[in-house]
Amino acid sequence: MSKRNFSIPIVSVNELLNAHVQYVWKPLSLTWRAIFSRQRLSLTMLAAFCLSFSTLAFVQIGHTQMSEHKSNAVSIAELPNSKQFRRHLIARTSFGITPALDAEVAEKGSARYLASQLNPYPDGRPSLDLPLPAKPYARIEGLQAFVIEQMLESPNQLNELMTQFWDNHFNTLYRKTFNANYFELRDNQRFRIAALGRFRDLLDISGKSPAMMTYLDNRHSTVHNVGENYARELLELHTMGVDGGYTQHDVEFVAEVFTGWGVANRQFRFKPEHHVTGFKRFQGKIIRAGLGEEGILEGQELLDMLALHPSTARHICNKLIQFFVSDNADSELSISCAEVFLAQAEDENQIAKVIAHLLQSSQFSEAAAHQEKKFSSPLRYAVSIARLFEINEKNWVNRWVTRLGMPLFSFALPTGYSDSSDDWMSPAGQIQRLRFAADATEFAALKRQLKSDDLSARFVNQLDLLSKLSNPSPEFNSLLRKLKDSTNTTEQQSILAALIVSPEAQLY
Amino acid sequence: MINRRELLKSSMFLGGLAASGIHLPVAKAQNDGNKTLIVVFLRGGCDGLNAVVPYGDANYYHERGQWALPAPGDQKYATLDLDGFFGLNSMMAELMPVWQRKQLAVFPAVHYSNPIFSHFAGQDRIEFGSTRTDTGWLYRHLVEQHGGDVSKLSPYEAIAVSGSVPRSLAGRLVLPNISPNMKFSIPLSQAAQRKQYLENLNALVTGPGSNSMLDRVASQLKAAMGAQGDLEHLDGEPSKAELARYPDTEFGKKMLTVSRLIRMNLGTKVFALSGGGWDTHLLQGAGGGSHSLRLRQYADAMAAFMKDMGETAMANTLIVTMTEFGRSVKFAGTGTDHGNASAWFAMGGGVKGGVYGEWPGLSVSDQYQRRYLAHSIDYNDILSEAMLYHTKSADIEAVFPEHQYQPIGYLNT
Repeated sequence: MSKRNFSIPIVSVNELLNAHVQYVWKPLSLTWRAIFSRQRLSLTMLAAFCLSFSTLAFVQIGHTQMSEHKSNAVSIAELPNSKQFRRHLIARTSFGITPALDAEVAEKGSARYLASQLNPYPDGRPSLDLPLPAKPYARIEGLQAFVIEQMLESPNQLNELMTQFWDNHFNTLYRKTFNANYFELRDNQRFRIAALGRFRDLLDISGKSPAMMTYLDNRHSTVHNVGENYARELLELHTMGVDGGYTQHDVEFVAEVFTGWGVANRQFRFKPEHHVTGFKRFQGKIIRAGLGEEGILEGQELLDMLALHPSTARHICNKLIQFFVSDNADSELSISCAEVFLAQAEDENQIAKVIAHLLQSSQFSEAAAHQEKKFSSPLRYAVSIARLFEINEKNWVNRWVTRLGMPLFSFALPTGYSDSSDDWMSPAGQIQRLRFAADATEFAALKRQLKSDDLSARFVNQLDLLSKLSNPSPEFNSLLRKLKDSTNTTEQQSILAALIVSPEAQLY
Repeated sequence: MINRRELLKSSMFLGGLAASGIHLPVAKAQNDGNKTLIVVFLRGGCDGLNAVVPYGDANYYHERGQWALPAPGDQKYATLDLDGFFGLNSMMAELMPVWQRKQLAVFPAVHYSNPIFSHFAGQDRIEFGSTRTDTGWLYRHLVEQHGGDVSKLSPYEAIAVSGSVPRSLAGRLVLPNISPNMKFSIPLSQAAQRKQYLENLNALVTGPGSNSMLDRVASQLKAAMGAQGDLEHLDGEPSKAELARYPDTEFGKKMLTVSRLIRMNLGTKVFALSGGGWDTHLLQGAGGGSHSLRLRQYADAMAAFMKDMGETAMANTLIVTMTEFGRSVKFAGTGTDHGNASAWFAMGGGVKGGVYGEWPGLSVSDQYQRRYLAHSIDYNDILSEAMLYHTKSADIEAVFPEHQYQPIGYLNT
C-alpha cells in the first residue's frame, strides 16, 4: 500500500520549513559539502530557500542536466616497474597472465601499459543508446559464452574486468527476467561501454534496464501497491551501502519516486498512471515533484543525488579496493578514493581515475611487494587457466565456470557474487576444480602440445609464470622440476593437471 | 573422535565400492542421532484444497462443484479419510501408512499476512523467511548452528539436490548443489593417469600446515580429494535394486540421490530440493487430473524414501514440504489462479501425526479477499518449530528475525 498518495502536490508548512532547514542549514555541515558544491544542487537549495518564505502551493524547479562531459584521457605518471610489480599488476587488472601479455608489459613498462588499459576507447566511447540486439541468444549458455569470449580474448582486459564488476554489482537473475537475452545482453554491452566511465551513467543503465525492473519487481510497483524492493537494493547495494545513513522512511520515499519505472514493449518505459504523485523527501531534502510524464524526473534527480553522495563514494570505493587491492580494505585508502570519486563525478573517465588512484597507491605496491594474494573465484580461475594455456574454447570454459559454481547471470541474490576470498575457499569448491584441471589437460589441443617435443620449454614457461605470481611452495617447485625431467607424456599430463589445480595456480 | 577428512583420506584410493552396485547400509551416523532436515519445495503454487480435501465442509462442494473430490467411500477418487473432516487425495495413498504410523503432520491452511501473488516474490518470501532478501532461512540456520561463524560449516553440511542452489540456502558463502546428472569422477581417460594425478597432487598438498592462504587452499584441496573419492560413486548408475525402490520420476530420482548421499555419510544435515509443475492455471483436473498425478509422484517418492531409510534412520529425519501459495478456491475454466493459503506437510519419526491449525472455512465471507483460502498457520511457525525441536537451534530469532514464534506442537519435544 502506498504510504503517501497526494493527488495534488501540496507543500505543507512543515515541509517548507524542512526544506529551509535542509537546504540552508545542513550545507554548513562538512558531510554535505561535497554534494552542495554542485551547481545544480545549489540552485535547488536557493529555490528551496526562497520557497520557505513564499506561500506557493506548487513547486517548479527547472530540471538541469548534468554538465557536459569533459574529455580527459587518464594518464599515469609513474609506477614501479619491477618484474614482481608488473606481474602483480597484470594479475589484478586482467583475467589472467599469458606469456604474450607478460612480454607486452615488460616492453611498455607498468605505467604506459596501465594508461592504455584505462583508455580502452581512444577514439571516443560508443553511444550508450544501443538498440535491442537483433539476434539474441536462444539460451542462457549462448549469452554466457559471449561474455566469456570477451574475457578470454579482449585486449582491453581491465575494461572486461570492470564490465563483469558492474554486471555483478547491478546483478539480475536470468531465470526471473524472462526474455532476458535481449535485456541481459544489451545491459552487458552497455556496461562494457561505461565500465570505466561515469558512475551516474552506470546507475542509469541499471535503473532503466528492463531486466532490473523485472528482477526487483519495480515494474509491478504502482500507486496502488508500492514495492520497496528496487528502492531498498538501490540504496543498500547499488549506491550508499547498508551503513550509508538512510532510514526506512527514505526507502519508502525512494520506492514512491520509482513507481512507474517499468517495462513496455521490451523497452524501459515510464508510466505516469502508475506513479505516486506528490512530494517526496530523501534524507530530509524535497525531491521536486514531476507531473505526468515529468514524474520520471524525480527518479533521475534522485539518481543524481545518489551518484554524488559521500556514502556512495565510500561504498563503491570499498568494493573497488577489495577488487583491486586487498580483501582487508584500508580505511585511509578508502577515504582518499572517495575524494577522487566525488571530485571526478562529472568526468567521463571517473571510474578510470578512481582505479588509477588505487593502483598508484602505496597500499597496492605494498601488496605487490609482499605478494599478498586473493583467492580466484571460479570465473577468474577457469578463465585464467584457459588464457594461460590458450584454450580458446568459450563453451568449454563456460561449462566449467558453471560447474565450478559461478554460472553467469544466475546468482539469485541482488548482491551479486561475492568478491571476498573467504567466500570462495571451500573443500566442496575444490572437488570440481580437481576435475577441471584434469579436463583441461585432456583438451585435444593441449594433448597435442604435450606430445610434441617442445613440451617442457613451452609449459614450464607458462607454469613458471604461475609460480612467479605467488611465492611457490617447495612442493610446487619440486613438481615443476619433475615435469621438466619427465619424458613420458602420460606422466607429464598427470603432473600438469596437478600443477593446474595447485594452490599456487588458484591465487592471483 | 576420528576426523572425517582423515578417514576419507585413508580410503582415497579404494574407490569403487558403491559404484559396483553394493547397497550400503544407511550410514551409522544417521542412526546415531545426527539430525537430518529435508526441505521440499513444490514450485508453482500447489493447490492445497486438492491435496488435503475438506470433505466435511459443505462449502467445499459448493465452491469446487464438478472439480471437488468425493468424501471417503466407494466412489472413484474418493478421498482417504484422515480425521473425519479432511481426507487426502486418493493419489497420495502411499502416504496413508505414514499417517497411520502417526508420522505425518498435515497443515491444511498455511501462509503469511500480506500475501504475495507472484511466484518468484512469493517463493522468495518463504525461502528468505523474511521480507529482506539478503540470506535464505536455511543459510541463517546453518550459520546459527555454528554460533554465527560461517567458516565452520563443513563442506557438505547442506546440499541442494538440484541444478542450482535455492534461495533458502543463499548467502555470501556459495553452498554446494548436486543434481542427479552432476559428475564427480576425475575426467582423465586412463586409470593409471588418474592414480598418478592424485599421487602428484598428494605430494603437492602435504606441506607444513600454516595459516597462509596457500596452505589453507592446500588443506581444502586435501579434504576435497577425500570427498571426491566418495562422491564419484554417485557417477555410477544406481543399481537395479536401488532403482527398484524408487518411482522413475523426477522426484523419485531426487529422493534416490538424497538417499545415496545420506549413505555416503558426508555429514550432511540439510538437504533442499524442489519439484516443478504445480502452476495449474489450465487442465488442473480433479481426481484423475494432472494435479492429482503430480501429487501421486510426490507421495510415491516420499513414501519410497521413508521405506528405504527405515524406521531407525527416519527417527532422526524430518521432511518438510512447502509451496509458495495455494490457488483460487473456485476454478477458473479448467484450472485455478494464484491464491493464498495452501497445505504443507511434515513427516518423520519425530513428528506427532495429526491435522494442525483451525480450519478457516470456505464460505465466501470466510475466504481471504472473498476468493482465496485464508491461513490459520504462519509458515514461520512450522519452520521455527523444526529448528527448535528437530535441529535444536538455540536462537530461532537469528533465523526468523521478523517473526514472533507461536507454538504449533507438531514435533515431539
